[in-house]
Amino acid sequence: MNPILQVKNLSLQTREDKRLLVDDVSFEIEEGESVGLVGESGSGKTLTALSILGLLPAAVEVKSGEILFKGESISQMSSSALQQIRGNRISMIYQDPMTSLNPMMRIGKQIQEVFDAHEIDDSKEKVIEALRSVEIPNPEEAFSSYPHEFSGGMRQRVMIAMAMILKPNLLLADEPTTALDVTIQKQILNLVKRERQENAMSLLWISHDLGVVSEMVEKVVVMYAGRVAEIGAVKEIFQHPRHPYTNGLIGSIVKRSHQERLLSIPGIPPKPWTIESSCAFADRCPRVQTDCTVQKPAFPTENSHSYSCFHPEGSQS
Amino acid sequence: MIAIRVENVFKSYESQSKDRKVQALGGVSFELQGGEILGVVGESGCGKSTLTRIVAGLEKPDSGAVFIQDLPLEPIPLFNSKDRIRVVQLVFQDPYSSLNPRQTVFQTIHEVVKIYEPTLTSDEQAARVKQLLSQVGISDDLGSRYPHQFSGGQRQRICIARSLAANPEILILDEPVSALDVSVRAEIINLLLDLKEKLNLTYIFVSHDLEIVKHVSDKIVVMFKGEIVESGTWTEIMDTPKNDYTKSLIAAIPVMNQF
Repeated sequence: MNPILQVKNLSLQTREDKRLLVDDVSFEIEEGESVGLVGESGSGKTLTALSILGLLPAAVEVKSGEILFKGESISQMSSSALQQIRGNRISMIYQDPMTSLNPMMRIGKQIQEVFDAHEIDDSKEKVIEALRSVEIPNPEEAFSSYPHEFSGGMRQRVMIAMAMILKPNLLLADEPTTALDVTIQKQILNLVKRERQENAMSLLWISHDLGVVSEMVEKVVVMYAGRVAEIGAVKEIFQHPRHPYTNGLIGSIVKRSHQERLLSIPGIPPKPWTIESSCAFADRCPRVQTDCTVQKPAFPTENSHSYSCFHPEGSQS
Repeated sequence: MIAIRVENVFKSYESQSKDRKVQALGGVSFELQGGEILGVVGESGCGKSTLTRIVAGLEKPDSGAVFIQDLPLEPIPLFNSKDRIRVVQLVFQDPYSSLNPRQTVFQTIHEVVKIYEPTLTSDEQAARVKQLLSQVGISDDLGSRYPHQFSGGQRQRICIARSLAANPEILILDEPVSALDVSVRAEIINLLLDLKEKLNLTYIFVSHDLEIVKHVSDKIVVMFKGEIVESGTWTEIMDTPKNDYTKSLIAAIPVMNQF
């Protein structure tokens, strides 16, 4: 198996005061594989995804590490080479389909811009075909409509049509269904699944919602406070979580008896730059011991089930 | 005692261009016993928020009636009927935008205490604020801080403390955990369940998260296009969904439970 994407020891920091935001993150996506990047706000999941496309906010810079796309280092690429990959080989869909579309431009024109950016001869028929493939009713009419004329679910379909029109090898999806109703969410999930199968595309699905992730991916990368806590096959992660944070996350949503108190994780995640010499989860962890507070546990690098913890679930504590 | 009775409530709004009416509620009726939790489920635009605003007395129904503890909730001017408003309080989805950023937490809650307990001395009012904060798990020495110095979960605790300052009997919780991170959600849900028992409250719990609604609710209503299309316990609704929308809602629940 060939990895299509390798994130190798990626660390990100703020440009100004060099505060660490993402700490030594490594994972791989195989050709055709679908991977979930799970974490809460501030865990660094979105920054990690943005760095894949070279789209980090101006205030954030790469401290160390590299990202390889089909064996080629993205970090070394010139901006014009990167431009060739963006939207063409790797594309991205975002959480809020309203703010990701230009409100002043007709839908069809916006999709055609993808062709323009890659100097491909655009044809109206191709765009209409793309709109049809994401099941937008009356695609001819949709071509000349404005974003505000669509519902949230339809706008997300437009975003998917735009992301898929050049048949990318890798789709980055950053919580694309969080803003949608559950029934619409289901439709979008099914649509992405179908597109993925038809185009043998790899997928990185970024979300805080374990339920959705479990439906979409084969492998899960759990992030906490800028670090990778655990990596493993989705079934492994849900059935035998080893990192106490993963265990807590699953325990806080999985079925309890009616109105019984849920398992909760007391406290809030620390800022990544404040925890350099300890386990990130130490001060919230039910299994914490002295070594956790003075030393960083090694981070997962393997592709099989691995975790960053001195005293994992299921071990003698 | 019946805490809330809603009888055949209709409500429409004029469209922006004022040339047509949009029906938000088309004949909604339900009853909720004191001490129960009613889960309200439905997609955006189904009338959930209109319903909660009418029960809270913030909007007037076009027709139909709302009874709170067997007394009709007359259409009331907001600032004119302190006591009727006291009984029903609201907690909103977004704890970031529902706290005044320029007031300390103490000021925010004290403002409500002053209105509802004007006979207390200022020392007693201060003690009451501290008691409200500690009741929701916020250490009372944090009262001098501003909202931005708290996390999302802590802010939602502060919003809950503020609503409890009025000594309510019914809380309307409008997506109270949707804006929070997963690991914090469980804590807030636990807090709400504890408070309900301790203070003998009745809840209307609005959410699009079916797992949470299922977990907390004694009774559930499913709303679709301004009407209640289904009501009953979770099991009743799951086992024999009558309505197409309910069926699609059930089909949309992520399959994590299979693991």
